[in-house]
Amino acid sequence: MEDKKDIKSTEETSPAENNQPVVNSEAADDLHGENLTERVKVLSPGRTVLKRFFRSKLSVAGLAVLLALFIFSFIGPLCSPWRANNGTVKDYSKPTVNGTCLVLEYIGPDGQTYEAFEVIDGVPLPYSTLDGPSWSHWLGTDNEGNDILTRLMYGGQISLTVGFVVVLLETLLGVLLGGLAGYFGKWVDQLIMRIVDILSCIPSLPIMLIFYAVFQSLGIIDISRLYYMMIVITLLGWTGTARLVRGQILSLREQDFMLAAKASGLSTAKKIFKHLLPNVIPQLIVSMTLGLGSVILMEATLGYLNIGAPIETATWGSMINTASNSVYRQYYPNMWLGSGVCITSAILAFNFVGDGLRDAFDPKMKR
Amino acid sequence: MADKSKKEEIKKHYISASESRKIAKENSKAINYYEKQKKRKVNVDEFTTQMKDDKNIVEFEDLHTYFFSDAGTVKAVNGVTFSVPAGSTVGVVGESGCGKSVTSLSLMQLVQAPSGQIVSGSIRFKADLFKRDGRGRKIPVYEKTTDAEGNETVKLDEKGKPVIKKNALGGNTYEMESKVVDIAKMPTEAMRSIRGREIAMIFQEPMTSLNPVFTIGNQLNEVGKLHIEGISKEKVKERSIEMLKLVGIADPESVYKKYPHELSGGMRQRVMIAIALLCNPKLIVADEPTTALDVTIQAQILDLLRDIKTKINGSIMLITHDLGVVAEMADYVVVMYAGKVIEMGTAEDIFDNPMHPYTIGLQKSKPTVDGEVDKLYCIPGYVPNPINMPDYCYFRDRCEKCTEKCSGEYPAFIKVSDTHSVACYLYENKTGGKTKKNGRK
Amino acid sequence: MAENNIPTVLEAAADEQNTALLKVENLCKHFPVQTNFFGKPVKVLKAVDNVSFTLEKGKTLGIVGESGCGKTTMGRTILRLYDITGGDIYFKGQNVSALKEREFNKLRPNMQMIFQDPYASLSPRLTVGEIIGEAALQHGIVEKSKYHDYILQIMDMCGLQPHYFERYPHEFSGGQRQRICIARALALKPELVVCDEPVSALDVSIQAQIINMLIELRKTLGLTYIFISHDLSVVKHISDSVGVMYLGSMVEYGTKEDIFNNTLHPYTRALFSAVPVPNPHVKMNRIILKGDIPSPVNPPRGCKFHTRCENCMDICSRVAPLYKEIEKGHFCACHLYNTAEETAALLEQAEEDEKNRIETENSKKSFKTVCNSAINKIKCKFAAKSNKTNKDDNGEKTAENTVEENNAAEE
Repeated sequence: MEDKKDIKSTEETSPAENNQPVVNSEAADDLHGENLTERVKVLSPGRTVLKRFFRSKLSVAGLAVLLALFIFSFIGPLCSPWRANNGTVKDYSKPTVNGTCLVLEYIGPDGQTYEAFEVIDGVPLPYSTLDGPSWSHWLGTDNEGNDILTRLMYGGQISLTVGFVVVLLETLLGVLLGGLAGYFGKWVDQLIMRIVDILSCIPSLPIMLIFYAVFQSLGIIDISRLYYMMIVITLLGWTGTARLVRGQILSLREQDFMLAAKASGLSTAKKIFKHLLPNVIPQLIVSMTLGLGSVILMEATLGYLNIGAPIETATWGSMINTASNSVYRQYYPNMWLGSGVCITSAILAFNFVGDGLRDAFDPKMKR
Repeated sequence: MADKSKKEEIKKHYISASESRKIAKENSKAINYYEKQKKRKVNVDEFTTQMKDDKNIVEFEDLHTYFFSDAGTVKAVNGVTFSVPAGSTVGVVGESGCGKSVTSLSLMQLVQAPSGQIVSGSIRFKADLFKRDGRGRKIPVYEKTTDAEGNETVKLDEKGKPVIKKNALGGNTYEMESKVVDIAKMPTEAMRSIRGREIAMIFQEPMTSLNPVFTIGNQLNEVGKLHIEGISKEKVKERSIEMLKLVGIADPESVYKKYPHELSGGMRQRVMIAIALLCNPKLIVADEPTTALDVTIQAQILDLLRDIKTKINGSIMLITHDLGVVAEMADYVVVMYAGKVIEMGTAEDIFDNPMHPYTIGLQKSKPTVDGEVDKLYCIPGYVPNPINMPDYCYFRDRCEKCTEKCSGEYPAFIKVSDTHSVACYLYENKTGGKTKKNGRK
Repeated sequence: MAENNIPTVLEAAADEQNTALLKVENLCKHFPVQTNFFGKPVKVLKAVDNVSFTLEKGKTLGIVGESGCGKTTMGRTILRLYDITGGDIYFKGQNVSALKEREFNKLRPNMQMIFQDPYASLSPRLTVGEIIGEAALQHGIVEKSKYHDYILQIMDMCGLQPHYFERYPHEFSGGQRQRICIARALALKPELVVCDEPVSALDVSIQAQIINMLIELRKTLGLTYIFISHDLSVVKHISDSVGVMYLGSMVEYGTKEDIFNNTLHPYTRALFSAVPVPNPHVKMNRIILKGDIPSPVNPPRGCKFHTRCENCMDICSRVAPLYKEIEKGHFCACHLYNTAEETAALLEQAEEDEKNRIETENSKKSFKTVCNSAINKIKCKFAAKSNKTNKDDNGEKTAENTVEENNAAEE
């Protein structure tokens, strides 16, 4: 009996050390033989996501298209000799008419000297309107004599920026309200979700037409009309994000780590901002990417109906408006085809990237 | 400054981009190779072999099953050799990640492809295959009648077609041949007739292994119709209900009509066992069949499994982490650690005279209801990550009895007695010679 | 508020429970399963039903039972992670079940919990250091300047290496994660720790490490545990007293020695005999319980265990047994240990109850009949009005007939 006990005690020495507070844990490391586990490198979470994303060819293609579109829109105009408006005039210091004119000089209210041309007689410079594709105008010119390719570039700037801003605002609103509904539940949830229900059963297009009429009567007819419209879209469009966030938070709230947070008496703000929201971010990124496509589509719809940006402002939507003219539609496809291709490829690319991200973030896809 | 070094420290812990690319390249190469191997058309002769011992029903020999993951190659099963004698229960024990489940999945060819592949080794299984004629069709056995003069003629039905003889299960009889096949080399197509018919599997989670949208009867019948060819509808139902009765369901007719969600966990596990038994399998692979169940229900299910083994006269390969369950059920025990078998023998060998430090530690670290100890024994450290395993004994870093020799190559199997063998240097000198990689008799 | 409480706390402590850290009295937790239109529960699941016990400082109470017996719910209700349906919880003599959420939050550091699933109970996007230290910082348990050292000290105590501080939980194995969970609980310097199956998700060799560590910590920090587990051997190893639960009620409670050496309740006996023993020579003569645990939504009448009990008697299906002290400190709820008078009294009461029940049902029924007949009368009058032209009194007759028929049917 005694012998047996002895053996036991010698065997137990090392695990006993395991449990006592060890001062030098590096030494304890060797003792516990943890180096077998420590030795192996693991994939960092960020890289795991990247790896899964790049495994899908379609999403990589989408990403490439998006990059190309951004370069086209934001760097392209720097390389183009033309402007979005003002036709094909190169020298902006000369009048755009052919004939005699008086040159007047005056000092403006800002103290600078300006030149003005008063046309006495003559005809406007022959704009090369409705040109076909040529070396100087790769996609030809439109009915105002503007270079279509250059307009596409400027249009892309507005369309893409508007997309990003709207999606960002929608997400902010959606996260805030969805988060409130999901976390607090009860009447807060009821109230917010009923608002969501009501908003999502309002047809957006007729509402836009009504707002168009309102803006028209208020005298808002320049590019700011598009911005106001986008505010309307944002106010109608946050519901999807809110639903998503609410659902996520409802399921996360039941997880053990939230119970643990509750058990340790954490404040509500900490629970929401440190424990809940970071876990929703992957889904948010996916929904934002997919949302970008639909906002661009919305902008195009508004442009086509001519209730968004005014025709003279170059956006992809306002350019596709030319397709509503049957003559242009039939005989000048170069006028609207470019913006059509841009819109389609942008939406497709955003969707592909969104799908790829969703797969990459989904923990169930592990290995 | 401290922050920087910390970041460095963290970086060291993660795989770098170039390493990751290298791994991905190697993985895709390996996966392509093994997938092609699986899909190629193979002649039957190529995967027929001989059993080492005719008493065995399954023999694993030097089986390697790897997972080609993003973090590197996971050698889940890394040279496993053991066998299942006919009519006995073999318990495979080990902690999570030791490869016990992957071993059983390899036997069923159910390892999750494409990342998981059987890389080498063989799994010999004594199978009853259908005899095929020249065109690859099954050869039916016809019903024969003997007339007054003693001449045998094939019985014909009304349409003038010969009547195929019915077997005990109510299906058509075909000419069979007993063959030993190597499942590791078998193409997927040929495996299908063995899965479910010859080897049946019971899974851990009875809540998810039944399809929630079909009735219990439906799911039983489906298996019956698939594997018992030519069986009539009535016969299938009869057989299903008979099986439900066999697994101790008191009211089989009503359970037959129920949906899985209407049954409790224990009942579902019984249904799973009924499905497994439907085609009279020779071997039942039970992968943690009672882990998800309560103790009182576990006792019921274990009782049932023991009962059934004698009834169908088959073998059971029981995979579990619970030593108590193994002690109660198994005739032979195989202890696995980090993808390798470290000790095997009869249940008495393992429980009365455990030899490997890991087996000893496992048994001592579990408190018992009868005994009383002041402090539990515990094995220090954690189960190692199965990527990039070292050459020396995998248990060395957690072992208290390790010697200098343990840093050498991985220890070979040492036969301690007729039935008992262990892979540890501690016993090298005690028996004199070492026998290399001996499959258990 | 806290100052006001101090005298009462002191008095209460002086009064009865010098050493009792936690006292639970008739704790109930019911979950609504079905609610009517106005949100009032029609059907409830009695997850915890009238559970009482006292736990002294430095001791460990083990709670055993099968899944669905309410042991987890009980643990969580004691920490007020769920709202309490009924009963009182006294922590150091203070009735914490009556406190408002905001006040109770200040007490929370004193009572901590370790969860079953080490994978789900760690927030995946926080570093280990944050997980452990976050709440300690908020409750002002440690100053900001000493924060880092404090956390490292706690981590060291739980066998975690200092360089884990910046890592994320996904990099760790189950055992290490469970150590992080324990460190998180200990960082708040608790007195009571509810361990909800802390080892059942772990491997055997890791289980022993964690259990040893918990015992060690109990000694060094003077902790009190409520140890919830379905594993009897573990409970036996760690506990001083044991409670056995079945379908939401405590069926047996006593010291470890009482429960394991002098088992009273048939359920406890069956539970013990069902545990597989890692010894091939022990041939089991076990009590195998019939059937499954009944649904807690519709528990059986009388003794909840009578459907599976091998000692089931006539009385068991009719009256719920009393939960009473059979030996000193050993409680059990079973009719087997009734005296003859008790049985008679219980039966009498049962009969009375039955009578009452039938009466109330009858009254409900008669109310229904009255309603039905009234409705029928109205209906017939309408019918009669529409049929005025041909048979006026015939309609009256049918009305009477239907009323009579209705009454007959009800009876």
